[in-house]
Order: sequence, then structure tokens, then C-alpha cells
Amino acid sequence: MRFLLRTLSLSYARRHMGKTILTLLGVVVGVTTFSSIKTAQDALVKGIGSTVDRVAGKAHLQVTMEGGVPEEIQEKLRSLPGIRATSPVIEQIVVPEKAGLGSLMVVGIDLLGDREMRDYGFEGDDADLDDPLLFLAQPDSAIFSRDFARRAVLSTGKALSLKLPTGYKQVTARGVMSPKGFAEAFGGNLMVVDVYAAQDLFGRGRRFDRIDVRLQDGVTVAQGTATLQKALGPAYQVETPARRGEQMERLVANFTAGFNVSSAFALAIGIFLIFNAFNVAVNRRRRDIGTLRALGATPRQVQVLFLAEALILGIMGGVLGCLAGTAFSQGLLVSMGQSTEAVYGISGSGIVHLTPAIALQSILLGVGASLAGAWGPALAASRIPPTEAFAKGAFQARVQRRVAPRLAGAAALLAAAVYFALFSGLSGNQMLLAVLLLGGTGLILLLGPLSRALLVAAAPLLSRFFPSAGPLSSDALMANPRRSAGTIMAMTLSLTFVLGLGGYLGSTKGTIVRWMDDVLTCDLFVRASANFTRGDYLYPGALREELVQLPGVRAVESIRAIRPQFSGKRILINSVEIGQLLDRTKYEFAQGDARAMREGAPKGMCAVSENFYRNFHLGVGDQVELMTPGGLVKFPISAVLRDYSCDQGSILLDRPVFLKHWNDDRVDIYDVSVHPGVDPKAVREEIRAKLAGRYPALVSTRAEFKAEIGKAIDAFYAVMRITVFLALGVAFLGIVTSLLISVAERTRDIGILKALGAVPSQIAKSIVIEALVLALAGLLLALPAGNLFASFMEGPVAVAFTGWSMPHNYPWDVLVQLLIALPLVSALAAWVPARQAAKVKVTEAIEYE
Amino acid sequence: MIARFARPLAAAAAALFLASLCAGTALAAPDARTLLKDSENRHRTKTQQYAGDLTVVNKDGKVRKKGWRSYREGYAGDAKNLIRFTDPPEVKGVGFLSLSRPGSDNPDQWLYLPSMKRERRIAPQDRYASFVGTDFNYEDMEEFDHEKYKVSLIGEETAEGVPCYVIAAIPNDKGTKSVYQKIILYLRKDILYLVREDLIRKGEKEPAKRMILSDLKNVEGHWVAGRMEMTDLKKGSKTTVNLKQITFNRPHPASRFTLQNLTREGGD
Repeated sequence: MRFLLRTLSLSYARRHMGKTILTLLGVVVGVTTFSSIKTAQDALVKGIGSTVDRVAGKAHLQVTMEGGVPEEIQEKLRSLPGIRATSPVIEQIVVPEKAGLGSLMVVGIDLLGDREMRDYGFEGDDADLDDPLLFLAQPDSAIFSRDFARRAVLSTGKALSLKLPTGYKQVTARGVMSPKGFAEAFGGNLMVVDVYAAQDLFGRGRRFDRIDVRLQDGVTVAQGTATLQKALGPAYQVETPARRGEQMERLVANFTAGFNVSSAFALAIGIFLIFNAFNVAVNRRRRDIGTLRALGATPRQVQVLFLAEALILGIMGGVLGCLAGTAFSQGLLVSMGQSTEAVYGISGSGIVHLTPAIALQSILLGVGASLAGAWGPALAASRIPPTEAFAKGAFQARVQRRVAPRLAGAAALLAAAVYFALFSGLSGNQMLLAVLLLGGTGLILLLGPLSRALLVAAAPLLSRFFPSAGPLSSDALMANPRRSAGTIMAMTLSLTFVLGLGGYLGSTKGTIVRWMDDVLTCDLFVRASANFTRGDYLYPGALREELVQLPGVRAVESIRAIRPQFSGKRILINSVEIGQLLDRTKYEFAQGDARAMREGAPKGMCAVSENFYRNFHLGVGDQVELMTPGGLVKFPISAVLRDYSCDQGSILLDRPVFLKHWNDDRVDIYDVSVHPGVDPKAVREEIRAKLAGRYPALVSTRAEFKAEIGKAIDAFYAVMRITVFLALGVAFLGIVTSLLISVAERTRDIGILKALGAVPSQIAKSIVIEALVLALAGLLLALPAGNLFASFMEGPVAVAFTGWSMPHNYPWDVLVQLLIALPLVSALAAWVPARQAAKVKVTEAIEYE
Repeated sequence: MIARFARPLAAAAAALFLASLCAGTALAAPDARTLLKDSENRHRTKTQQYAGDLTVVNKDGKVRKKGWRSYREGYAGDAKNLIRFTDPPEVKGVGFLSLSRPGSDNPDQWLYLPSMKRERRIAPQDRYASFVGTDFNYEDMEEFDHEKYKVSLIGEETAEGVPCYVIAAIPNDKGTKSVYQKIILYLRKDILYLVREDLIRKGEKEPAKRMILSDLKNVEGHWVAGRMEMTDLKKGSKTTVNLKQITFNRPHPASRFTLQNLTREGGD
């Protein structure tokens, strides 16, 4: 086998270096996509867990409460038996003004006693800050990790400007931490400030984000949890840091699940590229195969030879793809981190590491994809009888036409996919995997015969519209139907992905935009936090009265949002003056109506979102049991409405009801409506003047606010968009490969045509037409498939992961873009092969074998 | 620190009386408890105040300087202490209040930061932590009350150039929250004034820190050390406090040792 590989395979690879590289590129692209996404995903999830773990230090337990833990709780905890130390913590992600430093995690701690909890590893062997009294006395004091300080060119006494809720603020470096343990949290982009200074900086009032608890030796975590839970009551969550990290990881699971689809598509398309390349290789080397068979090689040996080639290509492609993926993954991680920060308010570290597990998986996938792509052609090669192998054209003319069983298999698989999507009751990821596998295989089985049928149907049209070049293209496409079908399959898969995902993204955004039009109807939004999910700064409730008094203001609503755990998911509880809200909004109701909601609100009833109803099976007539600082409270449901403010489900409560049970009058956003005829921008200036120097104020008009939410949605889908472009790139690569092979295959034919009088432009035109036909055939087949995929994403997938069902809208915008882009891309892809074909010399071509 | 040394610093009001007492009992083996009681009686004052210059030198020779004013009322188990930083301007106004609670293991302690306009209570868990970056910790800032220790005379030695009684003090209860396992006190024999302390942390055999009181002088009839020096024997850093403008037994305003005064803008 080694001899055959060296003499036959290596010699073929050398003679056809371009094709070999393109085949290798197919594996590389597929594996790169997988490994970059997987590496970034893993880094994101591990970063979140690791940051929680490192920041937690020696804490055994962490006490949290929705809205923050009141300061006085710390004293209560300190006096409990079994508690060795407690330490308050505030965490916040900020962005330095200086570009290129990345997000910075600010941890507010009480340095007076926090060494019981965390090891700071201060620089200079002083085992302390440069001047701890100065650190405490000056609220702008900060400590940085050494790595960050180096990148930001910071040393003790130097200032760094940060973008904070209250505007740009300078902090002064008063110490540097060695890069170990705690200082490595958030990838080392860490800044430590005094917890009480953090309260002021981030508007936490007299609350902490959590209190870390270290237990005395001999006290178990279970005992400690029981003691704390008993002393604090049900409104407080007492968890180990590990569990808290897991919850955060689960939170971003929905987000990362979307990338699995992208990975799967990229690999599938890569397999087709390999399939195509090997198919052609078999075709080109049939004489070699015939010789081998004539010399006594068994069919099995021939098959193993091709599979061995695939194995080598797979390993090479896997290694290269893995390395390229790691290089891309850093950028991907930054994008993912920005999305999770914008959407969930949490982010992991900023550093990716290629783990041995991912490297192994990538190489195995490369090998698997290569073998899968080469399996069919290798089998076909092994079945070539020696007599046929030496007869030119016999193999090309042979097309296996076992269409009926193939179509039947496709129908069965597609039916099974539909069943699993609609009725199986599988969990999100299982359902996604099952449907993609079954549906994808069904589609692939269906695409072969359909693409052949399309090419046959296109032949007369080509001859009619392009009398000289058309038949040449048609002949070229039909001469090797396997290759043409393979390219069309790759195109169809790419475009299905593009249309499906593009349709899903468009539908999601369209739905949310419509919802915003119905709900976000007030004129101005006054908020203190740029982040929509994480309240970096909260206003006092009393500010509403001041805003109402401003000239031009008609009404002000106070929005307070908390995100507690409910049945294992992090839901959203929104509180607002419901009567006022209903006066100006047009909610769509799935159950109940506005009147029921209005009447129920003051009685302590709540409204829930449709996805909450789907996720938890609680609707009108049921009660939601929520943990409040005073204990468990049951809220009857008055209505189920369409609301897209939280992907896990939301609950809407009247503000007085919330105040009564949560005893927290702080406000995230004030919704301000102005009198008719009053310019909102003038009122905005009044509000800014009123709040100046007192509170941070991001005052947006309705259009600005919607645009900002639109940006957040775009940020969420930014990475998915990248994968859409990647799919188009793979499609482009597919066409180039196919055409280059086609030109090489037909060198002799092209030479004969030229000898018979064909001019180079005619030859080149036929290549371009061939590319266009391949692309358009792929698009034609992708239209229904993409539509089906979009429906699957908008329906079963969205419901499984979020409980939302997006109404389906055909992605006409994407289609129009494709109709413009595809001919251009195809023509571009045909450029090199067309030039190559046009340059073929007649004498050399006729000698070409 | 201030507190621990408030007692010796308080000087001996009845120096002559005690000297004669010592002479009278010279033939008998002195008892550690008696010696400490005698010392306390001799140096007890109702109040004390002084201005201090604080210098911290780390092992690399880097120097940090601060200035403060210190006020004390009461003694040992019933002492109240207030420190207010006066210099440099960045830390001016930072205050520290320590109030002994009868029957309690630890006094209540607060640190006030004027830039944030709020006081922070020092939790018992933080007693080991460095007092604002000096070589003293918060426990060192408490009044030393020998009643909370088992004491024994372990010998006589010349320390800091003077003959001293050497007394070992071990915290009474095993469960006590003291940072130290044992404290070795060097009591100057002639005036029963503390001139050195070796502080041995829990689980250790050798002293982690050593404090030396020097530059003894008699102010208003009370012996007082004009210089206190705490050395961290492991880190190699040293904190020195030079006492100036020392006065004794001047009455304090009733509100001086309160949280309201601690947090008052421009308060003592």
C-alpha cells in the first residue's frame, strides 16, 4: 500500500497540485469553521465558569438576592455560627476609553478583610498595596492585574479613563497584582476597587451584588447552606460558586447552540467538496485503476488506496483547519463575548486556548469528513472493471440511475425529520441534531436526481439562448453528472443555510421590531445603564415625581426589571404602572385581554409572556409562585401576551404590587410621554439639565431607543451572520473547484473545439455559463429547502430554546441579494477556469490525457 | 498599637510608691499578674492625647509617612480610642474609632473615610489585617487587657539596655479570636514600663513581629515612650511612630468617642 501511495497517489497529487490543494482546502474550510466556533464556544463557557471560580477565591458559598444584597445582611452573616469570614462583592464590566484594551471586569471588594477570601498576589514583595490607606481614602483607587497594566501602560499613580454609567471617569492605579489565581479572572482583564467606592460608581446604593462566605474548618457546605438559608429566608439564594457558574453557562447555552448548526453546515459542505474532488480523481485515474486491476489488485485494495489518500488529506486538512480555526477563534470569541454581554449581561475571559480535546476532535472530523466524502468515489473506483477502465468515455457515460429507491429513502427521511421537529418531544439539542441529520441526509438523497433533472431541463434553454456556448456548457455539465450534482449539492446546502438562517434572522428581527412598534410607544426613555440586561446603575424611585413636574411631560412610568431563577431558568420580572402602560400600548394577547390585565393588576395579578406560558405551562387561571424577600407569594395570571423582552419568559407586575412584595423602589428606566405638540428633544434637554451632576442619564428618543435595541439584536446575531458569509465562501470555493476540474477534464475536448474553429471567448463564455447554471440550479433547489429550514428555525427550534414562535416570512430580501450576488460570484469563480480554458493550446490539448 | 501602648504610655502616676513596693517585695518571687496589675496601676491615666508621626519603611527601603492625632479615654478593658489622620492631604480626615465593650472579647472598631462620607465597621475576622498599611494589625490597635490572658513570669533579661521582667501572655480561651498564640512582654524592672513585645502568631514558634518602645520620658509626671517601633520580622518592614505634644488627663468632650463625631466633617 505504501508503494502504491508513493507511486500512484503522490505522483497524481504532484501532477495535479492545484486540485489537490483545493481538495485539501475543502477539508481545511470545514474543520476551520468547526474548530474556530468550538474553540470560541468553549473559551466563552469556560471563561464564564473560570471567572466565577477565580473571583470566588476561597469562598465556599455566595449569597445573592434579586436587586442586590442589603449591606446590613453582612453583619447578620458574620454573627452566624460556622462562618469564618464574609466579604461583600460588586462586579461590573466596563470599557476603557483607550481602544484595544477590551472589556475590563471591575470587582469591588472590601480590602480590609478580603484576604481571607482571595489571594491578591500584590507586586513588589510588599505583600500589600503601595499605600493601603491612600487606596481606601481615595475613591478613584484601583488595582490592576499585571498583564492589563502592561497593556494599558499603567504604573502606580497613573490614571486610566473608563466609560462608566456616569460618563467617563478616571481611576488611579495604586497597586498591581501578579498573574495568578484571582488576578487571572476574566482573562486577566481585571480591576479591583473598594466595594464602597463601587457602590457609588455603579449606583448600587447600599447594596452589594453578593456576599461571599467562607466557612469555618469542619463545617460542611451543606451545613453552611442550611444555616445561611435558615437565617436569611427564601428571598436569598445561597449557592456554591460552582453552581453559580453552571447557571451562567446554562444561560448562554441558547446562544451557543445556534453555532452548532453553523458548524454542521460548514462540515457538510466541506464533505461535498471532498466528494467532488475524489470523484474527479477516480475519473481521471481510471486508467491507473484499470492497470492496477489488470495486474491483480483486488477491488478492496483499490478502495483502500483511495481511502488512504482521503485519510492523509483528512489528517493534513484537520491539522491545518485546527490551526486556522484557533487563529480565527479569538476574533469570534470577542464577538460572542460582546453578544452575551449585550444580551445576558455576562461575559467570559478574552483569551482562547486550543485544547487537546478540540484539536483531536478537529482532526477526527477532518478525517471523518474526508473518508465520508471519498467513500462513494472509492467504492466506485473499486468496482471499475479493467476493460471499462481503458475505454475512454465509458465511465463518464455511466450514470447510476437507481432513482426510485433513492427518492423513497429521501421521502422517508424527510418525513422522519418533520416528525421529530413537530411531534417527538425531544429536548432542544437532541431535536436539532435529529432533524438536521435526518433532514440533511434526506435532502442530499433528493438533490442528486433533482439536480440531474434540472440540468437535463436546462439544456434546451441553454442552446436556445446561447447557441454556440450553451451546448458546450450543457455538454460539460452532463458529461460528468456526478461532479455537477456534487457541486449543485454543495451550492444548495450553502444557499439553504443562507436562506434559512437569513430568513430566521429576518423573521426574528421583524417580529421584534413590530413588537417594539406596539409597545415602545412613549416619547423618551431615561436610563442609567447602557446595558439592557444588566442594570449598572439604578435610579431612586422618587425621581419619577421630579420628572413628572418637568414642563411638557404628560406621563412617566417607572420600569424595574429583576431576573430571578424560576424552575431552573432565569426569567424576567418587569414592574411598571400597568394602567398607564396599557393606555399607550397595543399588546397582542394569546390569552385574556387588556381589560382583564388592567383589572387584575391592582389585585396582585400578573401577566405572563407567551414564551413563559410555553416554557412553564402556566396560563390564565394558573398562579405563578415567586420568591420575594418576604417569602413565597402566589400571583394569579390575568393574561398571556406576546412579549419579546426575555428569551426564557417574562412576568409583568403592577409597580405597587412589586413595591409591596420586593420593597425595592429603584428604577431601571423611566418611560416618559410628552404632551401632544411638544418636541420630545426639548423635553430631553430639560431632563438632562434636571439630572446633571446627580445621576447618569442616557435619554433616548423613541427612534434612538429602538435603534439601540436593533443594534443589540444585531450584536446577538453578528456571529451567525459571519457564518452565513462563510457558507457563501464555501459555495464559491465549490464552484471554482468544480469548474477548474471541468476545464482540466475537458482540455482535450477544448483543444479539439479550438482546432475546429472555436474562438477563446466562446470557450470562456461556455465556462461562465456553466458556473451560472451550477449556481442557479443550486439556488432553485435551495428555495424550498431554505424556506423549510427557516420555518424549522423559526418554529420548532425557537420554541424549543426560547418558547417564542416567530411568524414565518419568506426571506425575499435575502433572495434578492442572492439573485444579485450569485451571478457575480459565479462569474468571478469562473474567471480563472475560463482564462485557463481560453489559453489552452490546441497541440498540447490534443496530447492531453 | 496606640491602645496596646496606651497603658505603658500612660506612665506611672505612683512611680515612687511602686518603686518602694517593688523594693519591698524584692526578696519574694514576683508574680506576673501582680507585676502587670502594678504596672497598670502605676501608669493608668484617665485620658491621653498626642500627635504622631507615622513612618512605614518596607523591606526595599521605600518610605511612607503619615501624621495623626490620637485621643484616649479610659484604660485597658474600658478604653476608648480615636485616631484622626492629619497628613498627607490625601488621607486627611480618615478616622479610626475603637470602643471597648465590657464583657466582650473584642472592642468595636470603625474606620471612617471622608471621601465616601461613611464609616466601615471592622469585623472580628479582619483583626489580623494590616491597619492602613502599617505593620500593626487591628488587634494591635486594641487596648491590651492582661485579664484576657494567662500570664506567667518566664525570666528576667536585659532588653533594650535595661533589666526587664519577661512575661509570657497566652490568650485565655482556645476559641478566642486573637491573632496571636503568645505574647512575650518585657517589663522594665525599675518603673514596670513595657519596653518590648514579641508577638507569636497562632501555629508559629518564633515571633512574627516585635515592638520596641524607646525614648522614654516623663511628661506631666507620667512615663511615656516617645517612640514606638513595630518590626515585621518576616517581611522585614518596619513602622515607627514618634509621639509629640503628649498630654494626660485632659478632659475630652463627651461626644468625642462617638460614631457621630467620627463621621462628622472636620470632627476631631
